[in-house]
Parts: sequence; C-alpha cells; structure tokens
Amino acid sequence: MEEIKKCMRQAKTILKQNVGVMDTTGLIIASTNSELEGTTDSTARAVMMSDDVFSGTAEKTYLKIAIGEQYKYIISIDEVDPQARIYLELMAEWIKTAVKERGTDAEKELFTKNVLLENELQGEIPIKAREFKINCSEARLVMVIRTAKEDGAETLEILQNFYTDADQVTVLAMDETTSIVVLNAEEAISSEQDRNTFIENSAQSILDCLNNEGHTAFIGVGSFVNMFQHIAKSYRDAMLALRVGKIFEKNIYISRYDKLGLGRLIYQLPATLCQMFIDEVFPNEAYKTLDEDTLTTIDSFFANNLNGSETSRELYVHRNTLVYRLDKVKKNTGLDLRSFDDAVLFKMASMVRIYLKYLETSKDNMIR
Amino acid sequence: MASLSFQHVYKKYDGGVVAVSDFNLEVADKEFVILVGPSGCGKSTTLRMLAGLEDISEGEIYIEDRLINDVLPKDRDIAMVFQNYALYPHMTVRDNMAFALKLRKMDKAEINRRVTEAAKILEIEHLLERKPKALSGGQRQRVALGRAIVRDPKVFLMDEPLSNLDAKLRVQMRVEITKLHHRLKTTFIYVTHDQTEAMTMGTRIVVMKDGFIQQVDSPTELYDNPVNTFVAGFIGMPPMNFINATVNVEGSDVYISFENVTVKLPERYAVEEVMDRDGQEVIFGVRPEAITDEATFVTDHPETAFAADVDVVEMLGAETYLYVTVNGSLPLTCRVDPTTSQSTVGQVVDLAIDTNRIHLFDKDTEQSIIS
Repeated sequence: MEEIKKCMRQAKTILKQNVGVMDTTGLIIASTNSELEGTTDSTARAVMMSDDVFSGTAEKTYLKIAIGEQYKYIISIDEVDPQARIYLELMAEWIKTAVKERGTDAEKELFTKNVLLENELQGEIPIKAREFKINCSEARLVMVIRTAKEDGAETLEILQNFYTDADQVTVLAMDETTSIVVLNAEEAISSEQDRNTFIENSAQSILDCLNNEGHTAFIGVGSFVNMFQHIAKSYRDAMLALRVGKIFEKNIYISRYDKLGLGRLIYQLPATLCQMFIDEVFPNEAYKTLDEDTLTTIDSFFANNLNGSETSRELYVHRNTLVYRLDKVKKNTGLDLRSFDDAVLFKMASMVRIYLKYLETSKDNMIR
Repeated sequence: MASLSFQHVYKKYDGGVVAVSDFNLEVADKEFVILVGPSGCGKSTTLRMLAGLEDISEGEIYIEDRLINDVLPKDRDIAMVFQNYALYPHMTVRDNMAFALKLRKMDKAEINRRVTEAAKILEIEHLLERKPKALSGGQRQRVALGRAIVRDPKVFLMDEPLSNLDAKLRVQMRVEITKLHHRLKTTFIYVTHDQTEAMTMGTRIVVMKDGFIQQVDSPTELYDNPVNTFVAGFIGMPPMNFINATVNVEGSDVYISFENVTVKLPERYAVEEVMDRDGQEVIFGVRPEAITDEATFVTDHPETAFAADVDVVEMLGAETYLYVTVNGSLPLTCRVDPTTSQSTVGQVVDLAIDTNRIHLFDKDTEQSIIS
C-alpha cells in the first residue's frame, strides 16, 4: 500500500481536487486527504456492480483499476466534469506503474539477498544487476543490524523510512532479528579518513535512530568492496564483526570489521589450540587464583598503557598497592605485567580465555 | 511526570570492567537532574540503563513505584533525545514527529493533536511541512525535542543533545530546554560533559567519575562546597587553583603557607580537622575570582596579600583573566574586574585572597577537610 500512498502524497501537491484510492470493498487505503484513510466509501459496491469502468455520483467520479485480470482498486475524485475522467485515467496509470515497480522492488530485494548469501553465480550477477538498474561498479558497505526478536519488524520499518533512496541504500530483513543495510559508499572510498567518517556517521545514525524508537541494537560493519558482486564478502565481514565484537567488547554497540584486531585472529583459532595455549601460559589454571580486584587492576593497567601512576590514580589506590597486586600476578602466573612481552602474552591469553568461555556458554557454538 | 529511584545500580561487563558502581539517586517528580562528568565516567551508561537500552548488572531502577529493570524500553514511558538528531530525511517535520506514534498505531486525530500541540510549544508550527534538510541545526534539534514531546513521556532523557550545535546556538538552546522543562513540568534527566550546561540548566547535578558518583547537589552547593578536588576542578571555568600548601597553627590562629606566601585563614578554620594538621601538607583550593588585584581589598587584607608576576592578561569584556606566577614557579589564574584592574603583562602585581571563599583538601584522599 505504501507505493499508492506515496502516489497520493505526490498527487496532493499537483491536484486541487481530493483524490482517493479504495479497495473493492470501499475501504479508503490512500487519499490526498489523509484523514479519510481508513474510512469507507459506501458507493464502492455500486461502482463494482456497474459494467462501465467509470461511475459517478453528484459529487464524485469513480474509476475501477485492474491489476492483471482483476479489478483491485477504485480511484475517486471530488469532481464530476469531463476533466475529472482524464485525471482519473492518468492517476490510474500512475498507480499501476507504482504497483508494478513494487513488484520489481521485491524481486530486486530477493536478488540482493541472494547475492549477499552467495546464492547467485558470480558471472550472472552483473547481468541480473543490469535488469534491476543496479550499478555494479560502485563501492558498497554492508552493515548488519541485530535487534531483539520482538523489535524485528519495527526495525525494518524504521530503517526503510530512514533510508528511502533505493538507488543509494538497500534495506532488507534476513530474519526476525537481523536487518541488513547495503550502503552505496562511492563518496567515501577515496581516502581512509572519508571511509572512517562514513562508517562512524552511518552506523551512529542507525543506532541513534533505533535507540530513539526504544530499540536496542548491535551493528556489525563490514569492509568496503569496490563492486556489487563482492557485497557477500562485506556481509560476511559484518557478521564476523558482530559476533567477534560481542565476545570481546561487551560495552560497544558498533563493531567494525577493520577494528577487530586480535579478536579476529583468536576467533579463527580452533578451540583445542586455544586450550593448549592457555594451559601453557597459565599452568595449573593459575588465572583462577587472581581475585576480582586484581583482574580489575590488570584491566586498568592495560587500559593505561602499563602506566603505573595513571592506573593507581584511576583506581584510587596507592602506588604501593598497585605494585603489590602486580607482584601477586607475577607470583601466581609467572608473568610480570610491567614487562611488555609478558603483558602482551597475558593480554592474548586473557582474550583466548574469554573466547573459550564464550565457546563453552554459547549455544550458537553448537551450530558452528 | 514521575519520580525516579536508582538503588545500588551497577553496570559490569565481562572481563571485570565496571562502568557504573553503586549508583544511588532519588529524583523527585518534575526535577531537572544533570549527569555530568568527563568522557568514560559512566553518565551515558546510567542514562541508557534507565532507558532500557543497556542491561542492569545489579541493583534496581524504579520509575514512580514501578520496578523497570526488565521492562522493554518502549514500555518504560520515556523519551530520549540524542546528540544525533536521527531525523528521517525524506519525511516532513510533521511526519517525523508523528512517526513514533504511527508505529504504535495511535489514532490519527490524537497524533495530529499531539503534533500540533508540540509544534506550538516549540514554536515550529511554520516548519511542519518542511523536510529536515531545509532546517538549521537549531530547528532540527527542536524537531528532535518535538518527537520526544509528542510521546507525552513520564521522563525525558537527553544525551548530550546540544553537542552538535555551534557555541552561540548551544547557549540559545540551553535556555529553550530550560523553558521547556518549566512548561512541560516533567522529570528531565540530562547528560552532558559540559559543566557550563550542567550549572546553568539543572536543579540538581550529579557529578560522576570512573563510574562513581562524586557529589549530588545544587549548582550553587557544588560550586561553593565541592566535596573533593575532582568536583572542585571540574566545576567552574577557569578551574579552581590547586596549591600544595602547609598548615601552620599559632595559638588559635591557622595559617597556610606556600611559595614564601603565608595566608591567615578565617576563624572558621580554627577547628580540630584543620588544627590537627599542623605542619602537614594539604591542597589549598582557590577559585580564580577569590584572588583579586583590587587595590582597596589588597590594602585592607595584608594577611592574605602576596606579589606575583603577570604572564598573560585576557580581556573578555565583562571580566579579565590574569595568568600570574608566584615566586617564579607557582602558576595561578585570577578573575579580576576589568573596570578596576590596572595589571599589565610583565608587571609585578599585588594580589590578595578572599579567604571566605577558599577550600582545603586532604593531600592523600583529595577530600574536602571542612564540609
């Protein structure tokens, strides 16, 4: 119905008379006077029974619109002169085109979905893309938006209303919790700074827009690709960013593939190798001997680039307390975090532990 | 309209990061409370927990008497305004304001009534048929506020809503939001890192640092009686001068010494908490406006007077900032009256401290010694 409503919104700016579109029962689905939408026109029944495509009352002229073989809609205008019939015929053609385009849009959406899921042959993509007037040679970026199950349909509606230029942005739903936004990124591809700004602005706008409507959302940002044929790679990267981001960085809502760092590497390691690494770095589960205060201290020490003064200031502890805690870590694990090499090893082992913990608890892992 | 209650609220992330620690706050109905602090202090996380966009690790949040920990964001009866206006670009202002209500399948007549009323409150009736690209930054922000107003929420949540505006517009919108609060008579929770915004808008301010509440007070109390050096330094521009000084007690008189300068403190400092620190180091806090170069004041207060070299003079019209150095090593900032100040760069100037407006902080804990 949205395409017909769109026609009515545009007609409102052109026509002086009130025009409305109703279904065959008389329910007005779109009108230049939006207050009439949802009301019923009782004349519809008589119009449908008439043999003529045009019908009229003292104030209105009606025209039945056939889509395919069947009459699907009736269009009315608050005018009875001959001019009214011309207006109605023009409007009917306009609506038919819009409805047809809507059908094409659905096909285009399905095609894009298939490209993302690698269900299309690479060689056929440019040919089919041409049919849907998709420019294959423009850069693109895929974002995956994950919301709560109950918000899924609304999320799609919000995103579709946020991005209406179908030539620049494609919005589609993968399942009830996952929406995809494929952005034309041609304007951003020229420099690293442009790419960063493009990602930050686009992802933050989506997040704020959804938050504004009361939806919690997590966004995975893929990598830039130069051709439409390659959006599947950007989609894969975005999915990976979303998954890896949620494992290693719980307090962020936007995970970028290009910023995953060590997390991306660890995520691709087999669990047995990870376990072997942990057993070597922390023999006898030495990690478990570290209490919460010590773990918080370690996090803060890393966050402050191994700067003791900054860490003690941030944690409101005396420098000697910090030294004591770091000594305790050294005693329990054999790693002196003040040494860069040991700090790197500890950091990596901590991340591997988080990953192993995720593997243990995640139900998704059963599928992987 | 609603009261709020945060009870021992924590936000902890796996891996030990604690974004918010033991957050306790009671917000009365129709209050305008500001959460302020440097980036990473947990203020936005707190707001997002209240909005339902972030899970609460521990503790309870109530809106009126309703526990909302597990209530979906859209069922909490709140409305949020962000720094990013997040307006729908192809929709008119009217449609932008109505969109959230349409999503909730609200009756059209009611939507129209609410949009018209909100537009009237915000004085944007003439913009209703325009699209966002045809609006200025301030107008867009009004539309964003309008979208929140039409929801008729119990609580308005604002997360740095003015950060995208230029300085002049920010001042203007500050006033507008304050007026809006008076007009709507609803509870407002406002997050900002800008202490000027906090001081000018809030009925109460919550100063946060590293996930902990440092102080909750009215703007005046925060300015006049900061509980620690963080609050003292964060609130006020230019910031308070902090001087490492020594307490000296002579009989019932208390003196504070730094850089060959000795200042006699008023009688109210002759109390146990200060007297016990004879010979010990403390942090002596002086607001820039408590140091003056006014000749009469300096002559009348020889017990607090000292000389300093003037390094820089900043004329701001209504006030002048003097950046001086005491004894060649201690930099101080003074806010003086441009109509009386004769100080020039390179000059040695006589200054005096208004000891009724000073602060003493413990050197180790950085907490105020006298509350």
